[in-house]
Amino acid sequence: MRRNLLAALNPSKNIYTAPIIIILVMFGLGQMLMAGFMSVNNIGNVLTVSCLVTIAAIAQTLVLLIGGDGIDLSVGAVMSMSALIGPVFCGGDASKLPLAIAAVVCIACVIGAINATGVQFFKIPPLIMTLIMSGVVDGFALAFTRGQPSGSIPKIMLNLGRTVWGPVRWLLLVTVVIIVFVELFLRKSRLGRSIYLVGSNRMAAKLSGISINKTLFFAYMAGSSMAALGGFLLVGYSGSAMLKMASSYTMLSVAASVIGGTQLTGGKGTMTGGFLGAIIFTILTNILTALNLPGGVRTLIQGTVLLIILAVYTRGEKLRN
Amino acid sequence: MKVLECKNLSKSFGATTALLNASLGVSAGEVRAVLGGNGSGKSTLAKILGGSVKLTSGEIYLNEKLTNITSPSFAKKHGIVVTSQELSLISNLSVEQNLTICSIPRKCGIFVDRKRIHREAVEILAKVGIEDYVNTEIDDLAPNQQYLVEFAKALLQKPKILIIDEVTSALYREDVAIVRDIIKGQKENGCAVIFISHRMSEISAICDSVSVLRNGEMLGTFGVDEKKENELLTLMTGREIVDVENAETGKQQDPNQTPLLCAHELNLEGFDTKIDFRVMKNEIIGVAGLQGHGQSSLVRSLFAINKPVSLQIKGVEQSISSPSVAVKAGLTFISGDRQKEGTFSNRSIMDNLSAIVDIVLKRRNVNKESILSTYRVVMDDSKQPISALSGGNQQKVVFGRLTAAEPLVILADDPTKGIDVNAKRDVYRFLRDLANSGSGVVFVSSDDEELVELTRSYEYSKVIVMYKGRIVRELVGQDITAENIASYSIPKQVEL
Repeated sequence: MRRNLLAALNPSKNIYTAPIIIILVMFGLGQMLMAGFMSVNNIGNVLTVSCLVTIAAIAQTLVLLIGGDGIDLSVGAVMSMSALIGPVFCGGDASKLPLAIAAVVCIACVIGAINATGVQFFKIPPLIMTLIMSGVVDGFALAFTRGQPSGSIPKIMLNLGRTVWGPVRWLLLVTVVIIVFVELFLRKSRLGRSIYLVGSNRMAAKLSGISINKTLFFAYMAGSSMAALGGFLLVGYSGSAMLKMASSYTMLSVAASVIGGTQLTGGKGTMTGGFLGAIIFTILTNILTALNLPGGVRTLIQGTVLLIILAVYTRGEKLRN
Repeated sequence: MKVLECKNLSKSFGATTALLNASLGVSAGEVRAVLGGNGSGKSTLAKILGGSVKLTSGEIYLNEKLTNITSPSFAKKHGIVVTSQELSLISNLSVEQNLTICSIPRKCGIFVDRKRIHREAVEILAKVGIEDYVNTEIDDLAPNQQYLVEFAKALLQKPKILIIDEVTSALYREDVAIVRDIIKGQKENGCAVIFISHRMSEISAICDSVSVLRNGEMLGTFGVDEKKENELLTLMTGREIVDVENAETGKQQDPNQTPLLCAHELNLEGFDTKIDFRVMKNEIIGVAGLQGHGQSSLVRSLFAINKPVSLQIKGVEQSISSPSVAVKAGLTFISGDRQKEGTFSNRSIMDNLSAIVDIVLKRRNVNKESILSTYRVVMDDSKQPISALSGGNQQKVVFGRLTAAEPLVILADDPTKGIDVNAKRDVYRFLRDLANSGSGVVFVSSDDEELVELTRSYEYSKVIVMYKGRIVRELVGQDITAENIASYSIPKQVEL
């Protein structure tokens, strides 16, 4: 029994062992630097902030998985848009919440479909396509709200930050449900499994009879929808919306996905990995804050760490081949 | 005096030897043919002389001086120009721009001399008969015209040694005559020409002498009148080539039964030919020919990989718009290029195996573990990534993917490329079993021996030989021999 458990945790077999160890080490490090780092309250904070990054990472991973240099740099913009526009649709009324979510997801689907069209039919590199789309979405949000967030957030949404038990808050539960749902979808459904296969080898997928267009459109649309959902959760958690409030989430989403083991070349990656990656990146930010570093230096270090991780991971892939 | 003298050239790519101690000497004003089959090393020779491939060992003398050809630009500086089937043209530039890109004439050494560019381009294009196309973009030209431009580009560089690598196989008969006249002109100017070809009629019409390569070894050089065609072919293939007539025919399926798959006037990509093709129940069809004569195009066109195709499947007319539709109609495709077109290398064996059945055909009750065991895939666990398996085992998994779908017709494009003999034998066995159980198999191969082994060991089988996008011969029964395949792959007259 014990041997089985050890075998299951073997880092070369289990992709989650290394990130979990890193998380534990970083919590310990944080505790050494600042008393109270491992308090229930702070752990709760870290997990809750990670949840928002996780949703962004799920959105990003869906697009990274499809391969062909797939990446979605409009994740942050779509989240901001959704945070800004969402409240307009429900206007403080909890019963209109499903309608508001549906409306925002519809807009996100259109954005995803435009991204996919540009990438697949006009052969625009995904990096460029989604970067420009990010600007378009920001403009759309500004035009739609005239820069003034209107409508208020239903009370039930504000509960997302409330504690359920110990460090567990409502947002964490919602996120876990989303992770489980997406993970099951990707592993069990035909469309989900095609995403992995198309990402792993597009030509082989085509020759097996899998429709590349359908799968790619789905991945981009699902990614944008997930980002829109993330924006909704963000505004609920923070209590108010601002223009471009989620723009930093684009980089965070790529960071969390890559740290969580998603291959930038496609075909490999999990949502659980994205969650662990998000926690690692959030603790890093937390530690840097605890060190009282000025904002600029913090961002500098975060970016450098991400670059190093990218270099190590992409090199690792090459070495393995 | 020899303009070019090669002594004991060897070249190996990893474990494979492309050239072994090949020697060759060419004098000024000589037109030398180099004859060889698939993989005999003739293109490697051209690339070494052109500077794009480096020697493993050997010596090259230019004008009796030992020279080390280090790069394509070095080769050009010494007057060695190579034209090849792989076009060196830039497709979105005009013909004129392409022609002058390698030797842009300049005024006072700095400014581009546009007038001279134009004059020279028109002059050279008039020679090859396409002067009307000076300002046309390469993309808008027909394939044969593109080759003519490639040829014109070589002439423009005023070569001292001109190497022509199979350029004529893309040309029409009229174009070939033009090329022949130009080569004669070059010869009179004292240019040495190395003409790599497999067309006997051209060799005897154009060349003075012929060198034969087989498996990277130079078997000798002969005057063009010294040897008969069959003698040269015998040298080239290593087997006695005699003109064979039908001896005995194998068993054929009743031609009146409805074919599993029937294509009428199928247009092969890259060729302007139209062919009729049918696959009967229980039939194995081997597709032979020299590389690039439409064998691969045939199976790829049938599977609608690049454009839609209209097929009769079991007598029902169907429009196949994409591979996805083809798979649902009962066709499957396997490629020999596992890395690019076969395996999902970062997914598990099971994911690889179930790609067609689970995801495309939505069949739930297929026993995949039993497929892995009947195919004797050597593995620890079906959750392992497929990249952990050997090449042969990977290909077995891909085969398993096809057979799990119980296809009507299997289209195989050189599926045994780079796998060991035992795995190859296994593949033949699977194919025979599939054909026995009622499927049709279309098997393209660049290995003639393999086609003989597969088709001779099965009752309802034939081999078709393709040349320039056409089916030039159908072999059955006793007539299926490597000698016959080789002989029909190289028609002795230029046919149109």
